[in-house]
Amino acid sequence: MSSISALLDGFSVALAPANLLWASLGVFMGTAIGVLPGIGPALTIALLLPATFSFEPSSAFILFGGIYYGAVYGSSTTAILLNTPGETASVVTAIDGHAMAKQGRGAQALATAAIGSFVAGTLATAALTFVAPALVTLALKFGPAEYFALMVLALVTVTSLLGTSLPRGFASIFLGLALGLVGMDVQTGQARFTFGQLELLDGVGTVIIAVGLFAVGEALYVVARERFHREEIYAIKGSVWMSREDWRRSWKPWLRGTVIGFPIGALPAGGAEIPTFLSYVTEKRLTKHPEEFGKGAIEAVAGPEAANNAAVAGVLAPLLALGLPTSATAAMMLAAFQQYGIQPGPLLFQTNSQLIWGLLASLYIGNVMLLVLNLPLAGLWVRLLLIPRPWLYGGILVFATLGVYTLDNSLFDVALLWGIGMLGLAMRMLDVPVAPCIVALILGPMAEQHLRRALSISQGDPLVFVSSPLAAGILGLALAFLLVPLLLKLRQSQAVSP
Amino acid sequence: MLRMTSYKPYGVAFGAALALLGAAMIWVISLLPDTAAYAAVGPKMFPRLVGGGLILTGLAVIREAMSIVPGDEDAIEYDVLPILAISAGLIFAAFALERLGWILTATVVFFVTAWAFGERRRLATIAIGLALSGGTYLLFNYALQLSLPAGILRF
Repeated sequence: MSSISALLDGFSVALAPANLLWASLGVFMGTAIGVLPGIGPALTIALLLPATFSFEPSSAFILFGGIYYGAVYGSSTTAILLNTPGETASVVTAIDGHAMAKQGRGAQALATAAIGSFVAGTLATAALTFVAPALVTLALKFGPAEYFALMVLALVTVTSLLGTSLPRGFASIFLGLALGLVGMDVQTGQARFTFGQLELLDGVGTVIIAVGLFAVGEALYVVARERFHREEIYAIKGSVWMSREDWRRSWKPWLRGTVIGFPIGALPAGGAEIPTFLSYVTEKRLTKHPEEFGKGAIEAVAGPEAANNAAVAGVLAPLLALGLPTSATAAMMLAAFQQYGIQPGPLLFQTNSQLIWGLLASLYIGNVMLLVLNLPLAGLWVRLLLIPRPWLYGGILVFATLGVYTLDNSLFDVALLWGIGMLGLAMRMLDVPVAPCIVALILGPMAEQHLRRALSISQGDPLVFVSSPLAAGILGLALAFLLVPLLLKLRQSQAVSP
Repeated sequence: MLRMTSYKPYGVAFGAALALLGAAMIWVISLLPDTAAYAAVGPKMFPRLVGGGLILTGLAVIREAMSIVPGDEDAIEYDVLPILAISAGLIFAAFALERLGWILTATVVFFVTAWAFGERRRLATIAIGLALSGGTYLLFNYALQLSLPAGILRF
């Protein structure tokens, strides 16, 4: 079946009234949590997992897809008007977007972000429609050794490209891997690191760890710094329309952002942050007004905002086709698949094609909804920021407790939630990134299975990872990602020291 | 109030903790009884790899922290009291949720968190907390077929 006819089938799923409702609820919630500080798409999906357990899987994923897309739209709003990006993918947007808001051009910044996100989101979703089936064809050639290599690559890139410190990034990865080991070994049934606790036999739930790190850890960190932090909201004033000049300066950055964002998101290189940085640098180099950068250049909002939306679509390609999550949100979506007993990967396109294509089709629809929701309603979303912080965080912690308790109706889990929250607080205070820990938590058990399977097939011969050219190539790439930043740093320090 | 004047001592402690955790993992997993070797690799190999990785990472974290020259950083201040307050709220929830019921326990969590964040309008906070916990109780127990404990508020 060709992608086009499959997609048309998908639209018949996505356009069913109930699913349209889930998509609109998803983009609405997504935008809201994107705007609000302290709550992001990964946390939202984690909290919704118990509530969506009784749903049709396709409805749940249409909801989650909408949340993921919507959150990226919404976070630009806070980045521009408040200079506090709702998500890391909008950190770059905040630089010039907030400068524009200070000059009274907040509306134009919001508009170029929304329209750019729409253009990039639509083009990248179209690219996803064709790339994902192609990836499936490739993935069918993969054996356990290749999968293991791919997971190593994803873990390395998620660390080496994110954050400032390589050791602390790896600390996050290994903490995630260690947490993922707790529980019963699937192959032998032996209990590992459970210390005789029955509650730990099933492992420490992904949801508990995600909610603990993202909601509780974040709340504890913010509350400890509350007194030392001030924020100013800039109101939207003056003309809300983009001028002809704004359009002229925006459309090329949108397209370039898309071209940068999608492939990088699709690589097992993780997340939407890096493309936004690359887009910013590219636009700065190409613009006729480099002096405006940092002081409110519209290109510097248009490009990165397009890039982060394109990257979100890109992240879905390895998630759906390979079962490989490369961002914290993708990791939570994988946990959702596992909750339904569905294993994402090449076979999914055959066994659950309705689910996959329905999800893809609903992403097109969600993008249109988001444009409508964001352009005229930007002022409304800003009002969300007026919710007093104490009540906002009170609500977040109530929902965190709710989400974790309803998983298994276990009080042990609630206590564990607090413990993981303290770990999250410590990680934030030490500037250890949290996202790699979540990705590692999900990837760890999968990587172990593939490692053991590969070694069983080769009868314990570790050369299996080198004798397959594909696996060797992927591992080589991982090594390069690890060594290149180190070498660059070494050269830099040598250039400085003499 | 906790004043972090330099990352250095905390980084060294964090690295040491990681390395200790790694060593502990390798030790704990070695206590596991051996299984019949029907597979080339058993359940101990991956934990050993992770443990080894933790030790190496811990050492790298220590090295990184040691290379910091003191005085280059800005001191960061943290309030400890609100952390304790929110912690108390969550631990209270872990003990009280099934006895007191969802509505009252969640209201306590909401109130304590809001208080820790500096909210002093007590009645409004309690009202919002009750509305939030009551609303979620109705939604979960009647619309989503998940059961939240009613506790002492049986109706």
